[in-house]
Amino acid sequence: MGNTEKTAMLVRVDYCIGCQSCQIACQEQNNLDIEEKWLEAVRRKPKMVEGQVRMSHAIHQELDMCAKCLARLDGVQPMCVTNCSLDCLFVGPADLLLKKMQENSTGKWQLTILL
Amino acid sequence: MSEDLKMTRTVCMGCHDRCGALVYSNDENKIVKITGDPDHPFSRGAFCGSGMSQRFIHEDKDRVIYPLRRVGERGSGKWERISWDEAMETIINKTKELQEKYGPESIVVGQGTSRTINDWHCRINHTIGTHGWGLAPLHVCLNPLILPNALTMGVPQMSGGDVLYRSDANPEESNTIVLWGVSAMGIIQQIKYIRKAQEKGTKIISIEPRLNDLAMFADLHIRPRPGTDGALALAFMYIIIKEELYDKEWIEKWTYGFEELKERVEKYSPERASEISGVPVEQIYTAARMMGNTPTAVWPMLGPNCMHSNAIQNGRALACLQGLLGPIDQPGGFLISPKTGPHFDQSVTLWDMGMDMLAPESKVIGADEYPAFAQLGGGQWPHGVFRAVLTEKPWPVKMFVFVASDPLMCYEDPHTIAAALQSPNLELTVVKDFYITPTAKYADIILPTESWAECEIMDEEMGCGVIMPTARAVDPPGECKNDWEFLLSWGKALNPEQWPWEDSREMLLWRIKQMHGLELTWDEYANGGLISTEFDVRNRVYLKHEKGLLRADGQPGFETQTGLFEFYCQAMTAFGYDALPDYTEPAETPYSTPSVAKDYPLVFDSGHRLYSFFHSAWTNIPQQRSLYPNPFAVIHPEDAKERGIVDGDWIEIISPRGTIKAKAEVSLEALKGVVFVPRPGWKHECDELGLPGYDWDGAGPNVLVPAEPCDPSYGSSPMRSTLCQVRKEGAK
Ligand code: SF4
Ligand code: SF4
Ligand code: SF4
Repeated sequence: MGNTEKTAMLVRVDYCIGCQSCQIACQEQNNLDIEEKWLEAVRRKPKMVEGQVRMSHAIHQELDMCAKCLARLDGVQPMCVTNCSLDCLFVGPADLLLKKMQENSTGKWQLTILL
Repeated sequence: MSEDLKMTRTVCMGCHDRCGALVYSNDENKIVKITGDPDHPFSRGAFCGSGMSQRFIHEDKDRVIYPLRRVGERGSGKWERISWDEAMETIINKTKELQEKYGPESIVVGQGTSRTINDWHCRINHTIGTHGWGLAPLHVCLNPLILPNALTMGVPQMSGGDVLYRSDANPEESNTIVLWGVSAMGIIQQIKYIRKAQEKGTKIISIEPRLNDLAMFADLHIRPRPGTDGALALAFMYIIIKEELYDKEWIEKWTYGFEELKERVEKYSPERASEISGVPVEQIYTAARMMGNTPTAVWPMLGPNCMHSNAIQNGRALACLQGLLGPIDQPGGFLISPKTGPHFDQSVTLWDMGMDMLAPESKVIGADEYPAFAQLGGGQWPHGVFRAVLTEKPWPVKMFVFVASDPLMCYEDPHTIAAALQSPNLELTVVKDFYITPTAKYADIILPTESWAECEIMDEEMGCGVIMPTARAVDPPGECKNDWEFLLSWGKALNPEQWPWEDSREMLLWRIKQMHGLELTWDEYANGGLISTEFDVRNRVYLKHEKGLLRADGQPGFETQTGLFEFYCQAMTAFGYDALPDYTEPAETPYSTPSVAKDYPLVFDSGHRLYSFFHSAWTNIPQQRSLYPNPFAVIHPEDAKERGIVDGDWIEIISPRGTIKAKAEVSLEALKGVVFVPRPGWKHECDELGLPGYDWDGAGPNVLVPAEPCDPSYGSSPMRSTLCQVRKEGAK
């Protein structure tokens, strides 16, 4: 990935079960101290929306660190992606991930881009 | 990678999922990283946070890495390092002394789960002179799930959903998948396949009192009061029969007792089941009709028929429901695997499973009180074992060896266990584990243990007929040894003929030969990739009962008394159960014991499992603990409000048996009237995070659980359905 491309993370939110495997994988990938988290999988409580229960978890990431991480890995997939139990998390160039998302006709997706 | 790393392909044994792992290590014997193995046919790259902590465990300064002997009083917390030879000499001498003086039944070997010793454990029991499983939590774990299927259709397997959709399976062949009492954590590998099937049109029903993560995507999520699943299953059958949603030819030709079942379910109208379970009548109808759109795969896990005082009959109701949704063994339905679960070969276990475990000379504790557990579960009733230490009845228990087991965290009524472990009656307690657990604190000897990246032992517990070779990625620290080697040196000293091998490699190859008829060299085993056996689920044959593949005599039909799938099951009556499925209210509920419910009005359910821990293990591991730093209990907003509790308050959970503490997680995840306490118990402190440990009695849910009343003949304790009260810490 060249320097000019924008780094992005794509999550299929309605697949993510909040297992937090990705969070630990990121720490392992980057040898982070236990307090330092570049990726957080935040488990959220169920909530009511128009009388119906809804549930989803939230993935939050420091995309500038992802950009460096991807550059270091030089084509190897980062562990946050490879270890995701649901295959629902992707990191890479924004245009590719946008395309990947658009290949699907269902699902709730979240694309985060660092401009 | 900048350094030169060695990559080892092996299998994580952190839990039953047995995910394929790639372990990268350096020339200093350190694990550098662990990723899931994308080429593994079951896990296909998935790998959880718990598995990744192997790196930390391998290096952990707090791990037990040498044999230790207690110094001073029991429980003093002081230890001295001894050699393996010294440790084994003590164990062997004491075994021989007690065999002589009190009989082999005075020696009890206990095991936990997932460290691959199932059959060797039975073998060492036989060598010592006892029978079957010895001490294991099989009264609450999986066996109550297996037993009803074994009796009803002669299939000792827990669940029929294409062996949990692990291997080249086609979940989309099911029109409906019912996940019943399953935690997402327990099927973490499989969820993506279920989701993909759902996208192709398969409907998913999840049945579980708590809104667990499966509720996120289930088409229908049903929330029964814990322990009422049997009533629900009977009502589903009521509707399926009334609306003739069953396959008449299958019922006529291959099942027994349909008319009796029909009459029985008359008692369980959806209205009645709704009153019992709290599930709205319309939901019961919707679910039954969805299930009636067969093929339907029902996956019960521990929720409906383990850990309840009515476990076995709940399980029978579920088994019959699956039969009603038959044909059994059709694509997309309940699939009978060629062989599954901890399958046993008698030449390995040396345990004659046909023996009379109830005969006085078999010396099985609990045989009188809970005969179904003794005879069909093959184990000693756990509470009876600890009580026997104190009372010396029915005979003295003088020595414990616990391998991968922490009884103070794992069994009901741990107060009795603590008393037993401190009793002067007990002459030797040995614990083999990674860390000094609450039970190990009272041990006389602690033995160090290899972890999965450090060892080569394996089993086929979840292998689905495929042997998944394990390899040693790194050398174990200190003098850690695997469990097989320990049992080998113990067994060899007692009976060298029964333990002729030199090491665990020889044991492994011999075991494969016995069980699968494959003669392999070590290199063929270790470097050959996955090894397919005759039981490989990928070579499934459907409708085996039509082809004479289920019965020992080779005739069509099922291996039951009638040769048919038995709705009416005479074999149940030998243990005092009704031959037809029925519902009985759990022993302690607002309905069965209103006087207890006056002070303890909430239902207590400790079935809640968390992604980062396995049973009570790993609350000391920083990455895992960081995900769930404190013991907590999930409580419904209205129940919390009534008690002046807000989210994050420290609370006390009280039952007639004791009190534990937890942080309140006030959430709609809880069903109103039920308190969900996760299983782990947070026994260990975590230095790296500065978080305390709560030992066995501070936050361990079993403190609140009685040993009795329990299932009438199987002895299952009500870990998921008993009563409690909750209050803000310090409140009156
Ligand atoms: S890409 Fe790298 S830095 Fe970003 S979340 Fe994944 S592992 Fe962490
Ligand atoms: S590993 Fe995947 S499923 Fe688990 S929390 Fe992360 S994104 Fe979600
Ligand atoms: S602990 Fe995690 S990685 Fe290991 S087998 Fe279980 S699910 Fe797989």
